[in-house]
Amino acid sequence: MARWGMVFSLARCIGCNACVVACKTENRLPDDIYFTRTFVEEVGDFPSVRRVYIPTLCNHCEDAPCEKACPSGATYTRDDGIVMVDQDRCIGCSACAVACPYDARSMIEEPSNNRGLFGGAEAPAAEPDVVDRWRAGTVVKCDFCSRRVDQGLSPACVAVCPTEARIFGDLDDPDSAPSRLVRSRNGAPPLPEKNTKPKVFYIDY
Amino acid sequence: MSAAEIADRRETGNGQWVRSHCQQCFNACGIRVEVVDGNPVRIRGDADDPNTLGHLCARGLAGLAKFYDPQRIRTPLIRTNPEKGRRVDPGFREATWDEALDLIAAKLRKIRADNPNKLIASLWPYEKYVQSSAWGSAFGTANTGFSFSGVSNQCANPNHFVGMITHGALVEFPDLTHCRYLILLGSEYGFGANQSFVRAARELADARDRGLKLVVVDPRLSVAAGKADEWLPIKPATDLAFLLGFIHVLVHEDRSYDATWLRKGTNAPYLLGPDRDFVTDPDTGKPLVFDETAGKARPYDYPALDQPALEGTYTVGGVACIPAFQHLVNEIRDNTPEWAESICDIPAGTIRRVAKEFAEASSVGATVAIDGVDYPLRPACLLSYRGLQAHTNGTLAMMAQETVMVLMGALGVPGGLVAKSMDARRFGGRPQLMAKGPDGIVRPHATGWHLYTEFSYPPKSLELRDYGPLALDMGHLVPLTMLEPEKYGFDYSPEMLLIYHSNPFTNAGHHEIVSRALKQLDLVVSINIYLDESTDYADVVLPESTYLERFNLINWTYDMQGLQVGQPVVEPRYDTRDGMDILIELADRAGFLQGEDGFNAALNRTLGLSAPHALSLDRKYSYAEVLDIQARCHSGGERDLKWYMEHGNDLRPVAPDEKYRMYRDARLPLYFNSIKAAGDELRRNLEKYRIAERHGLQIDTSPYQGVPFWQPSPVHGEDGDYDFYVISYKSYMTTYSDTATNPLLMALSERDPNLMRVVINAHTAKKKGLRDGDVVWIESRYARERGVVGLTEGIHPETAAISGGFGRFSRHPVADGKGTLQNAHLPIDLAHTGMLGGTMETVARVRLVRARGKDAREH
Repeated sequence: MARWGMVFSLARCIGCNACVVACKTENRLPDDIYFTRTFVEEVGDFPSVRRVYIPTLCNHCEDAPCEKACPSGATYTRDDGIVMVDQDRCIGCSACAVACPYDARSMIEEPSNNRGLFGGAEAPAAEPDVVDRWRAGTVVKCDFCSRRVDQGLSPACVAVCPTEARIFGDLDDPDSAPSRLVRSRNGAPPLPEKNTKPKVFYIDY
Repeated sequence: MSAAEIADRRETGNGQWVRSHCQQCFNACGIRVEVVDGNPVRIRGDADDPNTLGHLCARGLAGLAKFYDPQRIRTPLIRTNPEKGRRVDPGFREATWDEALDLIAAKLRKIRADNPNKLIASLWPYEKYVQSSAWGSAFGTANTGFSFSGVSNQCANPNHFVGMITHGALVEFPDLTHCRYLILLGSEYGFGANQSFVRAARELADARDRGLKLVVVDPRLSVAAGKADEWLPIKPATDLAFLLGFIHVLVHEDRSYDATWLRKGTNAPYLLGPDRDFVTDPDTGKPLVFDETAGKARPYDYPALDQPALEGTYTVGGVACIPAFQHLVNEIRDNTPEWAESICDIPAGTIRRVAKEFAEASSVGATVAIDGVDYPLRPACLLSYRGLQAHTNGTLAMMAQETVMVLMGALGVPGGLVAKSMDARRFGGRPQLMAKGPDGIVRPHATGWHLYTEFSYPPKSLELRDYGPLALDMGHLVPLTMLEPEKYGFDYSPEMLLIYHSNPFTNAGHHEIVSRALKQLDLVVSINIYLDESTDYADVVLPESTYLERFNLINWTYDMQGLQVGQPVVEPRYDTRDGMDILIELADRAGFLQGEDGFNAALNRTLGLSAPHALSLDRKYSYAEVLDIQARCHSGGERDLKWYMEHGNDLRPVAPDEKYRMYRDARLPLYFNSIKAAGDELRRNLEKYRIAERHGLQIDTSPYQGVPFWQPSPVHGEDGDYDFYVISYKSYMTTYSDTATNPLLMALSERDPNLMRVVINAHTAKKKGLRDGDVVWIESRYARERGVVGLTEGIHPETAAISGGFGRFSRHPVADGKGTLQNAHLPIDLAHTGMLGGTMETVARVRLVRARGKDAREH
């Protein structure tokens, strides 16, 4: 069984948001909900100034605070390490969202996903099962595109990334691309002081 | 290729995946579109596109919005309200195609019989602008292509023009597999703008991983600058000064140019007489060089030539002359880095250091063997684009860029700048070697482009190409000249405008001039997907299908052979047509489709079609049928359109000898003799026809020199009351402002802290009492537009930056009123036009005045 993880190269990421749109369209997320985002930070003073683009998503922590906080058992970890939310069991209490130190979870307030791209009644531009996937009053987050992963594909954000700044693979395989990068380039997890053991690492920071 | 990449070709989902290529900018990235129950539901990159490997940008992934937009035009429309104006409702009524087409065809027939130039054909569908431009040529008008709403503002015409005459490059690409040092000037190559973003982003990230040093010269901390090893903030429109200082270091201080190459491979040793023309051999007419070994002048191709001189002063046939290289050395003498600093604000020490680093990285003398052939290896590139070039002095600046690259021998070789040519390869044909003129200098091919316009008086071109023979386009001038044709010498006045996929209000300048011109025309026809700012002035609107409902067949790569298909992934949802089919239909109804001079014949020439796979001149084809013949022709009958519809593309890399040194033994110009000659000819004609006396027109012929020299932009000297230079820039989430109708992209754009704002330096703002988020009036001599101040450390202190992707005032609910327009501040006049290569001055002077009362509320 694999243990899926992701590496972000901060040197390669240019903040182009292809990943964000791929994710939005893969999962047909409601307007204000993003499973992955890129943050931009300006560092330094004129003229010695540069910009850093920081991609983020659910870190699929091994010691996931969200899972511990969930009273209904909706949040669980698959054998391959992907942290999931079972929409049928989620009671919408948001305890997980509060517990997550990475702000990686969102509450679906209204099922706007059934609307078209322009908010009207035109076709929703998504497969029927994707359209019906999200329920109002539940908490949602990135699941590493588990349905794609189950078919041997990489997550949508990884497949489209123009600079190949997102590297996905099996962290239990020492020869996988993410394992090698974490070793050779000092892969660092986000907020290590939270002791959540993320399966997402940043390199070239 | 990794297992994951192979697996990705299968894709998930219940639908059917159809291959096509994106057409939301002109890079034609391979896509696959999932279709469920006749609805496109998902767009992904096509992993079988060897150019992009299945990667795609935000725009490409968000493309379904084009198809599903409720604002799409669903049927032909005809105006009922005679009053035209900004946001004045045209009162369109629905019409049948027959009614609309017949109405237009009747006018076309009348104009064509009278004077075809009275039609302005403004044709700018990204992926097939060359084909559509052929329609205007077949009609017979001089006003076709980018006329009226030019790429003179949007694009980097000097790049195309100077690139072509220097080494046949319609567009230049850094050879990143070998490059180690890249300087980008006003370019976001590999970071979102310029050509081939998706592939370039990967290649540049890989090259940086291998240690490439990136230096970015830009007034603003662009994405490229923000990620670069070094950002050099420059004062807008002064890149030319930076480059002259750079050349000064190479030829006067470091002397680090490739002298061996200059002697053999360029016109650097050609002797110039006092008139700065080549001194020629009286017997053969060939340019002479001075053989230092023999101590005498010889024709440049003299077989036993030993060491042609680059420097010195000689007397040949009683005439004092100097090698072209010596002329450059003389002309550049005063352009020291200290001089450059005083103009461009980049410290002299930095210019000196970067030039020396660049020269060292060029590794003059090094070679690399590829497939058993030794090539020079020059792993350093200087690459500029619109930011450097879209100024009145932009062509001189581009000449300076190429001067650097020629000096180092870095054009068309591994590690240097490689040419994407405008040859038959774009339409599927084989790459063609560049021709060589009798003077030994390269002659580029330029299908569909005018590299030279013959002088005529009265002039024909409303862009004034007659007075700017080398300009690729000055489309932005058309609204100006058509308002007062006699002032410019015209003996006609245009009556009709056909706009195909263009929006003059967002891509020309001064809105009042554009508005007045549009009102004056008898008939304005727009081929469009949505109603926009310009369709408010249209008499007839013809609805075009979106790119997910139409065909195309093209190769936009710079180093691959073959074709890539664009195809309908679903049938047109409404009563819309492919724009090319509309042009074919209009040509048919107006009587210029068939025969030797018809549109079919023009398409045969443009697409490089020849028997047995060519269009008959006596029948009508659908555009799909045209593409089928194109596919068969260039595959030797092996592949038809259906094959491409199934397989997507047959792109494969060209051989190294079809990528590098396509000029072979033709010499490249260090001395731009063709520019000098065109200027001399123009000057003679202007005098002969007394253009200045007759019309009071002062056409500036001074830039037509063989070497670049400093010429300020008019914005540097004017309008002391307007204390900011306002520039525009491009984001990877926008294609011009065409993408402003896309809700996915707009939602992301609105999340960006500064993308929709007028961005200024935080220290400047403090001095002027402006704060982040202040609503201001952006005031110039030409416009007063509202904007919101964004602060950054990353911008030259006198500069304000506005993205070109927003500021729409159309009826489109997603686009309307978001962001602000930069181009409204741009004057449309001759003083702000670079008539040499054809470009508009895209920097303007503005001031920011804090809005008060209800105006101050953020919109």
